Amino acid sequence: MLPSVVRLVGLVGIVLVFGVGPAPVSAEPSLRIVATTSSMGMLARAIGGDAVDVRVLAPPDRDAHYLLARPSMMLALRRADLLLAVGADLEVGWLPAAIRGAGNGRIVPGQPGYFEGAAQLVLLERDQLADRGRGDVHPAGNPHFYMDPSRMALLARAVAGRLAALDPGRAEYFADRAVVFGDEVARRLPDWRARASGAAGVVLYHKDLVYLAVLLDAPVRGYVEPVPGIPPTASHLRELVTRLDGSDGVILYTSFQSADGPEFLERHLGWTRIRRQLEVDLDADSAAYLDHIDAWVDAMTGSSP
Amino acid sequence: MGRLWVGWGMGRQALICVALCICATLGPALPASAAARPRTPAEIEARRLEIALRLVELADEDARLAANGAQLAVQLTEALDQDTRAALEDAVAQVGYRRGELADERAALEAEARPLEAIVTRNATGPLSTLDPVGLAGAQPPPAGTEQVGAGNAFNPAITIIPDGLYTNDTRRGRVGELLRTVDGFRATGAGLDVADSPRGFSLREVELAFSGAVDPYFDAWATFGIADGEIEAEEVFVQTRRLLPGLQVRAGRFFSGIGYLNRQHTHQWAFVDQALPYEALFGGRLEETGVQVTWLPALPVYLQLGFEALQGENPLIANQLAESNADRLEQTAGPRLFTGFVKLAPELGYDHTLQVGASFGRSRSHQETAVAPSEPVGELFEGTAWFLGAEGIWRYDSGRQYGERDVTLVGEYFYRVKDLDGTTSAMPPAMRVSRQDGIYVQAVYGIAPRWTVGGRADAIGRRNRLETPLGRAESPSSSRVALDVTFDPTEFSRLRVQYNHGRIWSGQRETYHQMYVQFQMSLGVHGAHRF
Repeated sequence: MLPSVVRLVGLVGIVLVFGVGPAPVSAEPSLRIVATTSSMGMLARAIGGDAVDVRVLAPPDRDAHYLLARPSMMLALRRADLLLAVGADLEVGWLPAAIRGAGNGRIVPGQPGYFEGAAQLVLLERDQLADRGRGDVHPAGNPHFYMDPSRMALLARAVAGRLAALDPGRAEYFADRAVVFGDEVARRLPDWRARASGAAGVVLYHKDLVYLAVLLDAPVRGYVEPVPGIPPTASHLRELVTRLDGSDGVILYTSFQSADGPEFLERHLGWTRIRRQLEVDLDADSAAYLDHIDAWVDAMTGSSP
Repeated sequence: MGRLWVGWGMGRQALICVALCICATLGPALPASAAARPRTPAEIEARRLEIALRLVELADEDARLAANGAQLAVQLTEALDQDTRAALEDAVAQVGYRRGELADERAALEAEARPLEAIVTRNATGPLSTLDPVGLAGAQPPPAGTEQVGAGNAFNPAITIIPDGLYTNDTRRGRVGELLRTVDGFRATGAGLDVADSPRGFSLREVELAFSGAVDPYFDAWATFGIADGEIEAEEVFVQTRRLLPGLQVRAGRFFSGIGYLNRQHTHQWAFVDQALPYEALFGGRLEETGVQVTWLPALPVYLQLGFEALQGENPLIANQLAESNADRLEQTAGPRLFTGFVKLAPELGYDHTLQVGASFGRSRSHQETAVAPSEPVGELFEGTAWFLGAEGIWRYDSGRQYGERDVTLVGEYFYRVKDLDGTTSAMPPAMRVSRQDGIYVQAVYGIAPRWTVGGRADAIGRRNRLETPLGRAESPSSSRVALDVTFDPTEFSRLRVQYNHGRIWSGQRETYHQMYVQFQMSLGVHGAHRF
């Protein structure tokens, strides 16, 4: 019984490894990029164009803080030339385990194949006290910079530089695309600011839209969460209502956040509540990203349905 | 313009002044410059963006000039003609001056940008600070050059302390653990298995102390210690390669074997307070050994992990060693004595569903036990081999809601184990014992509300439960247990759980028991990353 089992397992292994292993390799884009979120995937597409193949690990309809390292992530990372991460501990709960499971030495932190957006930018809310008593804080800074098109325009330059380092033959192509993206952001920025000027104020569910609010000069009047990462409590919501009663504004939250808290505030404050998907769609390009920001700008001013 | 300044023969600082004056008066060269300070956060952001983009342009031009200068220098060493040399020297000087200009402009812009960073965050503090006592603290210069930013210093190992506190009560006077270790067909005779019965009432079952980090560019290391009853035990201490061939990883040291699904989980990762019965009965909790593991993830369209382990073989239930205390009658087999192999396959099912199926196999070259049955000669020692086969399936549904609401996890595992032992005395007829046992469990966990889960588990061991001796074959009945639990995770760092167990165990006779746990767990330290 025993030797036959060994033989069977061995045979199955050999068939799987050598029979299926050398799969035909067709003409592929030069770089395989794995992006942790759809915003980073958008950036990869915007800069890499036809030269890159992009896979996104975290879909935009769920919270990138809370995921598990799944086998499909490890498989994607196994073949990646470059990992584009948000960083600042946004993906700390799953990305390290996924990288470890992939066995790809090119994309571990410190290698040219590992790129963390947060490390290239000046983040808001840096140097906070690293104390979990204050909720799910990120001492490296607020990781939701992808909602700030100006920072994304800066990041585009850095991404172009990294892509050029991995594929020097296309350096100019990447640099040009980064410039185009930056110009597009710069072209639309004045319009966004003009539309948002005089925005009454916003209440956010989480600190995920802080960057956009700062960019647009829209005052953040409060958060539905009592501290980051903790669901709203009745006492916190009542306090918000007391403080904001009589003023005007809009409540913003995202597709995966519970509607209960925002509904309570809407009832008691008479403010509009607007729920939108936080990040762009999985296959978004730069135009879709700018339209996505555009829609959030409308939401901040309360003029979106 | 560069030539004009050269004509003036001025120093660097004078040049900065001139540059700034020109900028201020001519405006368009650099819009919204120091003369018209931006005021609102939006203006500051815009200016910051402008400066940053201009800095990139400057760096680009500087790099171009540097390359150009290097080329000229080469030409200069080769040029013999006086006129050519003079022209080249002039060109080199021009490049140098232009680079000086660029450096000056960069310095000026950086000087302007520094206070702007502070202004942005200070202004942003205005509306936010009343809500967030932490606030938006003053900004530092950008963390240029680093490739990863996080909470800690990656030089030091990441440290986590995970205490596991229990309240336990049962209908067997606190001896449920002992009962589970004497199940018919699974009795481990002569095995140095420590029966860790939680006392009724409060107990600190274990404090797990975990360290991890990168040793050097080639290895990652983990060290996990369990502290219980005043003793420290090295649960896992191993290094793992960072950069071998693509998809290939080697792990060496003391580690939890990669067989099955639950085997490599630490106590704090379990979905229930206690371990599933098949693991308890067949591996004494789990297969944790010292040795080497090689895993390979081939580049296939589906996730397929192949693993092989060469282990020392010290597990009391499958690779027990009595040679040390019975040197006269048993021979010590040199390690590694236990070899395992496993395969895990996960098809691509999109973001909502994850399915993983796996199979594992293991064989021990040496397993030693003492006599147990009345029919066996007193003092008889048995020696032989043991092997097992396992199969597992895990399905997980991610609803996309926050805090695990409506997520589902289903896990099922099966193990079949054979021990083939012979007596070591020259008794007639020769003593022998072949034990064939199996174990199975299925468990389901469902997120009933944000941060709340309910779980159920059914285990059975000995559904196949046969003992072959010289006297013939004996079949023993199977034992089973059901468990229900409710878990509340206030955050990812703390956990409260209530669990109820009902067991029907054959240990000489049919025994039943009820058991309940209240568990509190927390994780103090770095944010752990968890596998599916």
